[in-house]
Amino acid sequence: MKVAAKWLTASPPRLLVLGFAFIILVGSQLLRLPAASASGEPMPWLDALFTATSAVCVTGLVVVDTGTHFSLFGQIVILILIQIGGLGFMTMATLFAFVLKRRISLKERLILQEALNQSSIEGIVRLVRRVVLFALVIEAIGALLFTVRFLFDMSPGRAVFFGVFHAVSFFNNAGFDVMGDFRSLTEYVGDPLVNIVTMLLIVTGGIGFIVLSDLADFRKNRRLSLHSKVVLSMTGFLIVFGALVILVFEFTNPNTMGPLSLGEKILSAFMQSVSPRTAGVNTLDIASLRQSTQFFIVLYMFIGASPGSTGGGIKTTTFAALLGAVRAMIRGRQDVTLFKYRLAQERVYKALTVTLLSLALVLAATMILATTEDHHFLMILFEAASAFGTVGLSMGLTLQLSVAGKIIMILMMFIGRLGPLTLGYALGPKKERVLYRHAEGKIIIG
Amino acid sequence: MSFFCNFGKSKFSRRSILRNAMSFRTLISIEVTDLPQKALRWFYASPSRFLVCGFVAIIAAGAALLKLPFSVAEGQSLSWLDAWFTSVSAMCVTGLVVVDTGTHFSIFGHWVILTLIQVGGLGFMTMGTLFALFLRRRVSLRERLVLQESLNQQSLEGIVRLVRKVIFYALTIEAAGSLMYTLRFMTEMSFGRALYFGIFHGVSIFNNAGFDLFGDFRSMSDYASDPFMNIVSILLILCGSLGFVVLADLVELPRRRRLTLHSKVVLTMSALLFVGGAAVIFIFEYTNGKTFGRLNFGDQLLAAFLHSATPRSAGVSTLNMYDLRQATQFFIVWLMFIGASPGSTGGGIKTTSFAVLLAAVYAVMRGKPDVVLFRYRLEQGQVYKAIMITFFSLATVVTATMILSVTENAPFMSVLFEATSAFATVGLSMGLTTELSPAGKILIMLLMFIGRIGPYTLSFALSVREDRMLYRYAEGKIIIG
Repeated sequence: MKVAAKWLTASPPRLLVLGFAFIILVGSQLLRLPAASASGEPMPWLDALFTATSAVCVTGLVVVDTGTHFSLFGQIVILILIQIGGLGFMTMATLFAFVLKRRISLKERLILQEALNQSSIEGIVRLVRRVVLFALVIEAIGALLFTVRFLFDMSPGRAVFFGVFHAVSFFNNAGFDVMGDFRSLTEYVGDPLVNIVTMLLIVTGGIGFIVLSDLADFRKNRRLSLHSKVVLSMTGFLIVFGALVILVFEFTNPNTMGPLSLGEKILSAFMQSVSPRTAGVNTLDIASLRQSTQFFIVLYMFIGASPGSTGGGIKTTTFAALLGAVRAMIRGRQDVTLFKYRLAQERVYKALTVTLLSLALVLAATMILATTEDHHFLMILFEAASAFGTVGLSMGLTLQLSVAGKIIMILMMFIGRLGPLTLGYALGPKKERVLYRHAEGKIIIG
Repeated sequence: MSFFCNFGKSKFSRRSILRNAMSFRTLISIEVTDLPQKALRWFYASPSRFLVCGFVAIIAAGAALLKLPFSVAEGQSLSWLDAWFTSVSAMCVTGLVVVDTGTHFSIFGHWVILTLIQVGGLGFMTMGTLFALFLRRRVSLRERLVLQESLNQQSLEGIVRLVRKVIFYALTIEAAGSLMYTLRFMTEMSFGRALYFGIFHGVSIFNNAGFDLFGDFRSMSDYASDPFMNIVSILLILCGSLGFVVLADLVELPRRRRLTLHSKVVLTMSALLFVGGAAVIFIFEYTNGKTFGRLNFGDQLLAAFLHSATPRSAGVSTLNMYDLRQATQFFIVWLMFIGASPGSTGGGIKTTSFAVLLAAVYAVMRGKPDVVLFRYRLEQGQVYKAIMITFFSLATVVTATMILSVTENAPFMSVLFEATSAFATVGLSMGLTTELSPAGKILIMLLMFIGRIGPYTLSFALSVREDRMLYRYAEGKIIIG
């Protein structure tokens, strides 16, 4: 315990990266076992690594169909990888975030805790336990509801397994499914129960533990933190706005919403608006969507979920900080304000940095994939954004990826999962003594 | 500050302003009736409005002239929408064309287009420079012009002199370019025609318009292996895209022995983008049979450099954009988006905005509190302004792409390429322009106009306002990333 804490002290991001890499490697070895595949044939090494990375990074991009290719053992391995990846990440992110809420650095804090105060370590343990509890309770409720629904379609044993698998997968925003034939939830496009439960799982998984905990304490505290207000209002806005845009764009598309009734159209619009942030289940065929809708979904995948959650992307708070900065500029205000709170300049810069680096990463990956894969540009952009945001939606390119393409996608999922968090951490309050400042210069902008 | 001294010995200097201010009361009652001063008064009330209204008026006049029956070549006709499109494209020095300039228009039509390009390019360069100069002072444009107009003939003369200097620079460079082109064209055509072609392309390419007379939408593809044509074009594009402020600074360099921060940033970024862009294009296209395949090594280098220069933001090309690899097309989209430098004839978010963003990211990564370029600290307001312009531009291009992909039935890349090209007033196209639906044409026209005027007026609006802060909110925290 103390050794682990000491190592964590030295460099938490390193621990996170190595830990994730280790679990992915173990997972890929397990998936390669003949017992893991339905046919008894061991799967190729690269495909096993791809699947393990996709599961641990809770992405959901698949090179083989999860439902038909894997045996029950293989599916359970994937489920465990998703749970470890999702919970591990949520816990670590929450720890990072809590530490960042203080002026004192993680290193100092942990040195203090380790050297002096047993109860602080207990505090961390308690926090971790609380995260796990929250997650398990929500997953259990989701699993129960799914099981009840699936009982209509299949045997009780199968329904329970389907219920548990999909609840865990969706709460962790992984987007793996065992429906078979890469169908995702397309069979349930008009089913209100499945859709609403799925959306609730995705959203609760995507708003992050801090907000969940804040909401749980709401009755007691009677107020929300700034962070929770920003996350909740951005999430609400993005869901409703996205559903509207998708409804308008797809309303007359005969390949997607065309044949559906109005209620089903609205349901599927909401589902397709929630899913890109960053679950990756779909009830409409993504490849048949209009180009404008696909591009819109790319933007949503890029924005992603909220900090300290199971989802990826640049995060809703980052996006909110950018919008705040733009609004401040338009009004000619000096301060960036959100809900009558001022954001420190360094935070706005941090949001900018996370966004620009993410943009650069997605663009670079798209450009490289455009040379290795022979496909439509939008398909490639969609795939790269999906991997970066650890979403798991695909226009169908994943199955046709070349070897180089698969390796790039594995890297993208890994960087997309760990990048913004470690970046956010590395960019945290660094105490630097400024010995000199340069003179102010001016250049012409725009 | 030092920059200011270049122009003028201070028709704008602080001392003269103070002197003017002191005599303000005594001179306030002088009546001003002559025309330039009236125009100035309107200009200072709202320079942005002046710019927008002026542009629209000239575009309307241009469209009307292009609609005249003798503007088009024999046997051709031009719809009102296409006349407007061509006029907007010329005035905003873009170069996107719905009909072939060389074959569809008569000589008169060519002259109308050429005049629009010249007025648009010079007008914008002048206005851009004026805006930029005024922005360098704490005192607002309005105050400054109130002073100048009511009191000081000299200051007005200063502006006139500045405008004259911009025009002089532009005409000199265009003349040199035209001469070179004419010499080259004389080897293939009659002297009169060569001179005509020389002038047209000299003006069009220096103003980063990208209109050409070669016919059949070919642009310069016949000259892919001609070093002379390529090098002259690259030089004209680069001169046009650096901006007057930097050109003036460079001319003064032998005397003053130093460059302003602005010039250093512009020159470094331009060089970096030019060489880096050529390297990337060369690597991506090296094995592409449709483009580089038919060229020898030297020509491949030329093509790589030309296509690295042309997205910022000229729009001439020797290769067919449609045949480029997707990776190259996407790369060119980004070069177009970055665009030229402030106070130039080019569009885009501008090299300086891009430099500021890079510097800001670097500062954050290193945990430095200040954004620093060449050992100068940038004011927070300038960093925000760069962020603002970039996101405004990104949002515009993304929205336009989304709408265009509804109205046009074309591959996504073509649509993105077209939207970026219009916004950054480049004029490169993967062939979508001629196939645009009426709604698409109107959208592209709006995009060209917004792309031309937007970043400037935005930048201007963002700097003039001085907000009195009566209160500040408490600091709150959210978690980023």
